[in-house]
Amino acid sequence: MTEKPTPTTSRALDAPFIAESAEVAPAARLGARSRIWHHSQVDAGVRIGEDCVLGKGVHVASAAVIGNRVKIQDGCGVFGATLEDGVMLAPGVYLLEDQAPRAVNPSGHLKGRKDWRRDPVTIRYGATIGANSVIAPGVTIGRYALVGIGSVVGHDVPDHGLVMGNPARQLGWSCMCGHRLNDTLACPSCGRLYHQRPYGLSLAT
Amino acid sequence: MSIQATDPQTVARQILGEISGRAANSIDASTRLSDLGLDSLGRLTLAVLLEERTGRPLPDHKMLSVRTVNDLERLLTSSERSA
Repeated sequence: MTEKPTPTTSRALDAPFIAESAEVAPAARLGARSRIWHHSQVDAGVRIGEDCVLGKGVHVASAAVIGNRVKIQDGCGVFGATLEDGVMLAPGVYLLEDQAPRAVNPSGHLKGRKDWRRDPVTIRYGATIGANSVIAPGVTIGRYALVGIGSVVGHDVPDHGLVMGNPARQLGWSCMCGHRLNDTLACPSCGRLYHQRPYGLSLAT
Repeated sequence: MSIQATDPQTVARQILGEISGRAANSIDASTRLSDLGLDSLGRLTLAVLLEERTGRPLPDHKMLSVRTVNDLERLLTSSERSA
């Protein structure tokens, strides 16, 4: 059965919606109008902004910080990452944060919270991560970058960078609207023009 | 077993022909990769096949500036010289 928010007042319209089967820790912060769908889990210490959507079976953990108008689709794992406004994670994306993953420490005991150093991913404004991609710990994905489906990204991606593959390679540039730019850094779809900058591309003014 | 060329020009045009479905001898130096219909996946395939067949790495930032077949052949020649 599909559950739908049934607001009755303007204040209720702003309340976040949490599906019955989702688990949101009381200590997590959830912004206005954000929706958490079936079987998703949001741990304590996580902050989620306004107007976000978390699809089915998403796990957000380890004090991750998520901005406004972020879409996280079914089955994603967000571990400690920072997602700026307008980011999209397609289904099955994993953002990792442990550079030296081990179940046990050298003395053979199960590793606990203090046995590892967090090195989370940062995804900047408007970037999109394609389905089933994995982003390695410590990587920064630039503004409006586009990661192709099934990629394994181990290095930073510049603003508007278009990367794909395992290991991911940069194959071009992507527009704000999501289309690939042509050789003159113009968008064949919306006509926007860009200039090369040291950190990637920016809109031509 | 297919016979594979070793000189940069032939290797480049052979691979571009395989990816685009066009005859290698119809591709000339001034042809733009975009005119061959190479999208981002096509460019990835091109980079990987070139590295496999030449045995030399092609850095992404150099491949990014390749627009024409001529650009590609010059890049392959320079990487051959520096090897």
